Amino acid sequence: MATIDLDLTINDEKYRRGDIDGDLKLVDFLRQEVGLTGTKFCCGIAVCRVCTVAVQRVPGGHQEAMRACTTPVSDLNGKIVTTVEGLAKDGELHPLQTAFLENFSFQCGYSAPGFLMASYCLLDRLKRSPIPTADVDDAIQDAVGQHVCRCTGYVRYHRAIRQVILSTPGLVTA
Amino acid sequence: MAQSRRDFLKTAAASGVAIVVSRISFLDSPQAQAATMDPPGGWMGSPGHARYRIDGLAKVTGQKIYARDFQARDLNGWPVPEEHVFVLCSTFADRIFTGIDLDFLPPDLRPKRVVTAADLQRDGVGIANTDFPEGRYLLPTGMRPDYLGQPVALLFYDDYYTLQRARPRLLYAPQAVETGEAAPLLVPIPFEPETSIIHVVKDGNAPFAEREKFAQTIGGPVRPTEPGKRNADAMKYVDMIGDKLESSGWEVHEQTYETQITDPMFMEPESGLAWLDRDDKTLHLLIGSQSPEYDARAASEIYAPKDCKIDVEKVSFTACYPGGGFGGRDTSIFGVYLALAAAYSNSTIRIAYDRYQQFMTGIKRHSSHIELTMGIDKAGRFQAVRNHTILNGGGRINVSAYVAQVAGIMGAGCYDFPLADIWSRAEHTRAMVSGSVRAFGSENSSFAIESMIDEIAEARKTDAIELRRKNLLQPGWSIVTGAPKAPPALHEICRKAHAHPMWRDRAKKHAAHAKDRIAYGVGFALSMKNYGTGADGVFQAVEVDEKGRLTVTTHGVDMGTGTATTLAITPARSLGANAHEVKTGEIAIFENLEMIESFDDLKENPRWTPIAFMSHKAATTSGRWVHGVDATSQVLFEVGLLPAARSLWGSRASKLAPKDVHWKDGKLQARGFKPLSLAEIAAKAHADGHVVSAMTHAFFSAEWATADYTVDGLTKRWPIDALAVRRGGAANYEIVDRKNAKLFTVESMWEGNGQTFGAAACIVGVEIDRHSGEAKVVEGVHFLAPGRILVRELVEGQMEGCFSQGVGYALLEELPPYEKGAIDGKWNLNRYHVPLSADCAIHSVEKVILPPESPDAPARGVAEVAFCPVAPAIANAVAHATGHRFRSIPITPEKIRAVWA
Repeated sequence: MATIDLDLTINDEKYRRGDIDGDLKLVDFLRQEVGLTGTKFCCGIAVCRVCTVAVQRVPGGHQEAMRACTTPVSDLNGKIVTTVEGLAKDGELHPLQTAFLENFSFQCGYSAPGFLMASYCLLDRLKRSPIPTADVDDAIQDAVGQHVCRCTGYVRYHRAIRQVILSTPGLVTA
Repeated sequence: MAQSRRDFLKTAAASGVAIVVSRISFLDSPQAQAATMDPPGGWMGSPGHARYRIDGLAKVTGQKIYARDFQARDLNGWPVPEEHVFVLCSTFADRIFTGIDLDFLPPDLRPKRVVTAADLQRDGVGIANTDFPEGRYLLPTGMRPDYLGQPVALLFYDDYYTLQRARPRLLYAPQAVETGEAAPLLVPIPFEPETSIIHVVKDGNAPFAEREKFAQTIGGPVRPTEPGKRNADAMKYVDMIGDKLESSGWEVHEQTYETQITDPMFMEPESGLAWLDRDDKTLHLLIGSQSPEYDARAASEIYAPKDCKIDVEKVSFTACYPGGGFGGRDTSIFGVYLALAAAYSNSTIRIAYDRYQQFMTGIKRHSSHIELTMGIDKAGRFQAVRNHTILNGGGRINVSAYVAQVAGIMGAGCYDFPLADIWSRAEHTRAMVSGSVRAFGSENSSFAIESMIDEIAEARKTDAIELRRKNLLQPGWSIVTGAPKAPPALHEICRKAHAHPMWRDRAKKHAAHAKDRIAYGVGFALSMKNYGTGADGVFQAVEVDEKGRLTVTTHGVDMGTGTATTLAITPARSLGANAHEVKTGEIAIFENLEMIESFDDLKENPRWTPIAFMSHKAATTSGRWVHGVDATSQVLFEVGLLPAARSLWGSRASKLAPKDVHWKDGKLQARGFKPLSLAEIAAKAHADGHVVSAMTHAFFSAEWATADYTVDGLTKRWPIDALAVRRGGAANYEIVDRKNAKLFTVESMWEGNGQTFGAAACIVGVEIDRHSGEAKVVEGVHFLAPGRILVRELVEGQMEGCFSQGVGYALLEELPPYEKGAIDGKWNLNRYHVPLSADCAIHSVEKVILPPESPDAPARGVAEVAFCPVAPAIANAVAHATGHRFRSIPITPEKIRAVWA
């Protein structure tokens, strides 16, 4: 078991831990060590994607969707992690959270954090590289099409994400 | 062993969750707050409406609400040190178990302690009543496992990460579970009671009431070896139906259909915490369950034997939001293992299955083998049906007998057959345990019957929907298997489906693809499905605080279907406002009603009810729990808030009756009086000692039990069977005894058969790749007749989820039953394919929700009804596309390639 000194940022807070198992999975670090249980555990083998978080290499960098159940913390040293707990700012929900609520997108809600974080990364990508409106459904499918939800049938997740993309200035070109 | 009729009734109607008066009472846990949502004001729409789910904010912000989110450090008073327990399972069922050997583990991965059956036996641990006589929570040495995956030991680790590292080695560990000599495999035997329904019309056109019937629903089992004339007569009719099928000159279709074992695959693997507080002799449990009362009671019963050395006097249960359920968390045995482990530790116990373990040990959907025969006359009228269904129940009875019962009740579909011979039973096998999963047996019958009707239509070269229409039950008719009142809208759904362009143009579109690589087909299926169990009991309380804020308390659980939201808006009808808070999964508070549950008729006892607590299941939110909260809100209004309003309005208002007032713009209005806000009225009610909280129990079997109740001189008849009230300034509830009750005898409850039904249908279009054999749903129409709609978005969400699960059931999901199944510890979502969005035609499925059939139409169950037609519609579409009838699901690419090869 190789130990490392860990230094990463989670939801704008610095976390420094010495002598920590570098193979420790991010989902366990978040849930067991930090107490952030919004990131869920389901399959543990990076298939269902409920554990998705957003990771930036550097401040202002691309938000990359990452599966916390298989990502060792050693891969995240120096990086910036955003979890579902970090989406709302200054008491204001993120537009995706609001859209998920207003569309009744989820039921049991266990998959919702993964859908939120993957679509959060999609919005980041579209801010940098807007796409034609006609391509929006395909982009959503690319971003969350592999996410498993057992309750909902997916319709309202996709609808909510589409609403946010179309109502946020600068994400689509026409 | 033959059951007595009494035993049969007692077990059958209770669906496995009968309650007994226990020496152990339940504590109102302060930790319940940890799992109770504090709803944000923002969810609430106008009275009777929700802008979003009451639990929504917690779910989109990642708050701790699921059992898996909690650790000991989150819970006040619990010991912070945790022990992490692994439930070690047998991987065989063909040899004798001789013990466990963990030497194969590296020393640093070995458990600190191990508990086996010998420990339980030494300490006198008993069997929970509902499990009796199965018990054997840990398999004793010297015995053959009852089933694959039967637990053999509890392994205790004092460190989360050590168990995490040991877990992969323990999942499938034949070397850990030592075996002795070979033992014969279990020969499948039926779980009792079996379900047998024989229905005969004497003269062909007799009204239903005059039909000769022999049904379990009116006279007990007829097919098993119960002696007596009824049995003999019934078997004569069985023979007669067989003779008629052979010799009447009808067109007879006889086929075998098979459905597979599936996993409910709720997203949160079962998890929980437990702590036995030895000072207080209290067992604390925290679980996300559909059946908190069952879990708590089972945990108490295992320590109930007089000679048990583990001293437990109370069970304190904290119900968390389940991360999905679909039936798989109803009477799951998971809680028993938490309770057992807690007795062997001074720490907080944590058991958290991973997905592999959940596949290995969680409750499964039964596979089925259905031998179905139908006889049709020349005019296309259904004359006889014979449906013999065998379900694989696996190694524990759980609720298998009742799943078989529902398979039988649905065994003739929504059609009229003058003759019916229906026999359904679940078998005890060595397979994984099957139990309650969405649709509860109906999906099996639905697949077989709706497939066969299409086969008949094809053979007769007639329109499949027209054939159905010709044979449908009429609204209000008793159904062939005995229950009263077929649902409305069956005909209307068929009419709409028949006129839909997808159906109308199916032949043209099919032909247009005839030479393409991609074949195309359209299928239709119609289903009727019971919601509720036929005997349902619900507890609830509605209270108003001094500021006019309403709180609903229920023992119901919200597993995602929207129960909490629906119950939150329910008080608006009587109280003019939505509830600010809904407390779900509450048990202890309802002891205030001092109810006694029994299947003995105790009519003279005003505390008696046939079913006290029921688990959250059977699509009962809209049909049962809403009634309870609605009725309780009415009681609170009439005995508490209206009197307070009259006091505020003065003596002129003394004769104002409920019909003279109404809520408008958040205020109670009466002609000639100043409108009053709920806050004003509530403050007065609290100050003057009026009733500020009503607590009730309601019982349903075909209709609601009713009784007269007198509060402050006002006597009124309410559709409830128990009432207690609390007044402003008082700490305790006062019980109000019922009078002139219209209750149910055991006979009437059973013979009346209290089932209620809803109707749904699907048209599905599929494309099939002629090279790969892959079938893909590309479009559809989903019909539902839910009656009164409470929250449209929740109804539509249930339809969408049902459609998705139907796709999985028809095309994707399957677990092999025995040694090659999930017991091998290698099953996860990389092998078990749950539908993804691309599988569900999410942009191309139209929803058709039929309007209520009348102004007073009930709100019907949705979450199972909408599931049933999806898979058979897909199977019918695949048959249309391929020209081949697949009578076994899932219809995999391999199966399709095999017939096209």
